[in-house]
Amino acid sequence: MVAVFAASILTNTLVAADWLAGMQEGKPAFKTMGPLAFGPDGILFVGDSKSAQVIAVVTGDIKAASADKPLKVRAINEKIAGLLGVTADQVLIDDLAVNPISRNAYLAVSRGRGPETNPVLVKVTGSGTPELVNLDKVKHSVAKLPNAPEDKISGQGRRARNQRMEAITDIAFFQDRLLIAGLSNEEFASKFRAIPFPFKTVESGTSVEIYHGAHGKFETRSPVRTFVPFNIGNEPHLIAAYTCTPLVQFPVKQLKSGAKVKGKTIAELGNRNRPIDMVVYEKDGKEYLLLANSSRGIMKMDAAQIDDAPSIEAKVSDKEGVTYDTIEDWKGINQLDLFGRSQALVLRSDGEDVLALESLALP
Amino acid sequence: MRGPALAISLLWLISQARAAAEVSVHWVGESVEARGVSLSSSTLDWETVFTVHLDSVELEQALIMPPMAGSYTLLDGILTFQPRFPLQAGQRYRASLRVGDEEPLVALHEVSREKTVSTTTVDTVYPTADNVPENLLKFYLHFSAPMSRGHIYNYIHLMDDTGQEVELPFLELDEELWDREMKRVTLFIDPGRIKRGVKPLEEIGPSLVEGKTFKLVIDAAWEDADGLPLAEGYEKAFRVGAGDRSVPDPKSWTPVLPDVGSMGKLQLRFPEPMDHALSVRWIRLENAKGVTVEGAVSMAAAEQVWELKPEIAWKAGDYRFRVLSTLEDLAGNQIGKPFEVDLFEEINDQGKPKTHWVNLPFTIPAS
Repeated sequence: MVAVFAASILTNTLVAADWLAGMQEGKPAFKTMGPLAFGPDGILFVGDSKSAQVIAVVTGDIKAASADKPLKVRAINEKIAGLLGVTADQVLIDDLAVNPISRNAYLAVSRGRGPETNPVLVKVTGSGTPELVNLDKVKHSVAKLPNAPEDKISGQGRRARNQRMEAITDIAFFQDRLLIAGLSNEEFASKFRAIPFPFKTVESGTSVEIYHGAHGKFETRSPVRTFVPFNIGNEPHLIAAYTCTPLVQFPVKQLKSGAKVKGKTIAELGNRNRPIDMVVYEKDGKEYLLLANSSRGIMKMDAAQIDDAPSIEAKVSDKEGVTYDTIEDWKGINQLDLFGRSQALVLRSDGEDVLALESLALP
Repeated sequence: MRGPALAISLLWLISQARAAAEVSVHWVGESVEARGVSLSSSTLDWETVFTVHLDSVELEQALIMPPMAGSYTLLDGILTFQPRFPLQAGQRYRASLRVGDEEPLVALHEVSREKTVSTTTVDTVYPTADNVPENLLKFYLHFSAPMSRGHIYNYIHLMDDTGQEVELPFLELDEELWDREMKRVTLFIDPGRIKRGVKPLEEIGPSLVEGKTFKLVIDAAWEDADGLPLAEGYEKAFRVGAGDRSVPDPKSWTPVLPDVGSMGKLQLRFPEPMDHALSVRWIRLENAKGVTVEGAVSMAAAEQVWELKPEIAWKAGDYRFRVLSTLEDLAGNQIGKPFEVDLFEEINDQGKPKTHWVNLPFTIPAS
C-alpha cells in the first residue's frame, strides 16, 4: 500500500472530475483481494490478482475524521478470525489502506489459505472493533488488466491449461490514473501499468518497461515491489523500490503506452532485504520518504536529497546513494500507511503469530 | 450498540422464559436456533445476547473477541443465526445465549473433516536436471493436490554441501507466485544473489556456487488446502555447473519426426534444458495451413525435449514450430536476449523488435 498526502505534496486529484462515471451498483465479484489504495472521495481500489483486475469501490466512508487520535488494536488477526469464524491461522491480511478522509483502516483479508478462499474487506474504525464491509450493493467499476496478446495464449492446442498468473504487487492512485505494478509467476519481468480513471475501456492501460541501473548493469527484469508518487521540483515522479532494493525514480509523464522508461537509480538499499511499503509525508516543513523493509527496519529519507540525487550506474558493494536513518524501534512491520498528518498506521508483529494494528507517530 | 432499552427488555423476556425452562439452543445444520424467544422485533442487537464463537475461544475471551458474522431472523419464537461463512472443517463451534449474569446457555457443534490423512506430496520440482547453471533463475514446485498459501518460505530450504542452510536464497514475495489451482508455486532465486559476470557479489556471495552440490528441501509440515501436512517431505540434490550467459539458439534445436500414420510423439530437442512452464506455453506446432496440431504436450529428458502426442495419426506434409522469443533457458536467457545485458544501447533502439515469433519449418516425409 502506498499513500500520498494529497494537498501538501501533490495535486493528487483533478478538480471537479466525475469519479463515479461508468460505475454500476451491485456486488463486485472478487476472487482475491489486495493490494488496496484509496483514490478520491472515499473510492477504494482493490487489486484482484486471480481475476487479473482492479475494482474501484465507492465506500461512502466520507465523514471527515475529527482529530489525530492514536489507535492500537491488539491481536487484530485473532479478532478478525473471530468475526470470520475460523482459527487465526486461516486468516491472511494481505494489505492495509487508511481512508485519508475518515481515517478508518481497511484490511484486505483472505479467509482460508487454499484455492477456494473467501476474500473479505474488513474496516477498523476508531473504536478498534473490526467489522465486515458489506459489498453486496456498492457502486463499483472494474478495470481488467490489459494483457499483452501473447499472454492469452495458454500453450499447444485446446487442452492447454494456462498456469500463468500475474500477482499485483502494488497499486496507487495518482491524479487521474491508477498505477499498477505486477509480477508474473513465469517470466521474471517488470510490468508497470497506468490505467485512466474513471475506467473506460477494457484495453485502456499503458504497459511500460522501466529500465534501471542495478548491479553495475542496466536492466528491466527485476519487478517493482512498491512505489509512491512524488514531486521532484514541480515534476511528478514515481519512486519505486525493486525486489532487491534499488530505489529508482522516473517521471510520471513518461508513462505512455509501449514506452521504454529509463529510471534513475538513486539508492541501493542493500542485500537480503525486501521493501514492503512506502509513504511520503511532511513534518516541520520538510518532506520525507519512509520505507518499510523486511529485514533492514524502517528507513527515513530526506526528500530534498532525492530531488538532486546522482544516478548510480556503477556496481555498488551494498548500500549506496541517498542516505537514510533507520528507525530502530519500528520493528516487525508488515504493512504501513499514513494515518492523518502526524501518524502512520502499521500492522506489526506483536508476539508469535499475533499481529497488532497500531498507530505510531511519524519520525 | 443500538437500542439498549430493547436489549434489556429482551434479556428480561429471555430471562423469564429461561426461568420457566422454555428456552433452548440447538444447531440445525450450519445454523443455530434459540427456541422460546418471544419477541417479534427484528431490529435488536441480537449479537449482544446470542453469539457463535469457536469453542477454542474461552468464554471470558469471547467477551472481547468479536463473534462470528452472520444474520439473525426471529420467526414464531425461534431466533435463528445463520453464519455468513461456511464453518471450518475440524473445528468445534459454541453458540451462547447470554442472559444477565447467569451462565450462558450453550450448544456445541463439531464440524467433521472429510479428509484426515494427508496424501498430498511434492510431485515434481523443475528443473529436473541433476546439473543446473550457477545462475539458475527459478524452481517450479508441483504438488499432487492444491496447497495452502501464507509463510511458504518457512518450509523451503536450500542446503549447501556441508549441510548448512543458505541464508535467504529466494525472493520472498508476500504474494507467493501460485497458479490458479494452487498446485504449482514458482520460486525465484533472489537476483541479488545470482552470480554475475566474473566477480562474486561482495556482501554475502551468490546462493549457488559452481562445482558444489546443493539440496532443495521441502518440509512435510507445509499444509495442503485441507490444512493437512504433506504426506512426506521432499529433497532434491543437484550439482551446480558453470554460469550460462548465452542465449538459446533455435537453429541448434532438432526435430525428431514420428512415422507417418503413427500416433508416436513428435519431439523438439534442445542442447540445454529449457524452462518448463515457458516451453509448454510458448512452443507450438502448426501444420501447413497454420492450424495448431492438437495433442498433449510434455517435456522430457530433463527438459531437453519438448514432445507432442497427437490426437490423430500423423500425416505427411509441411509443418512448423512457432516459438515466442521470450522462451527462456534455466538462467532466464531469452532468444536473442540474455538475462543479464547492458541495455544502455538497446533502450535507445526503439525499432528493435521486443517480442517476436520464431518460425522453425520442417517436413514430415510421405514414407
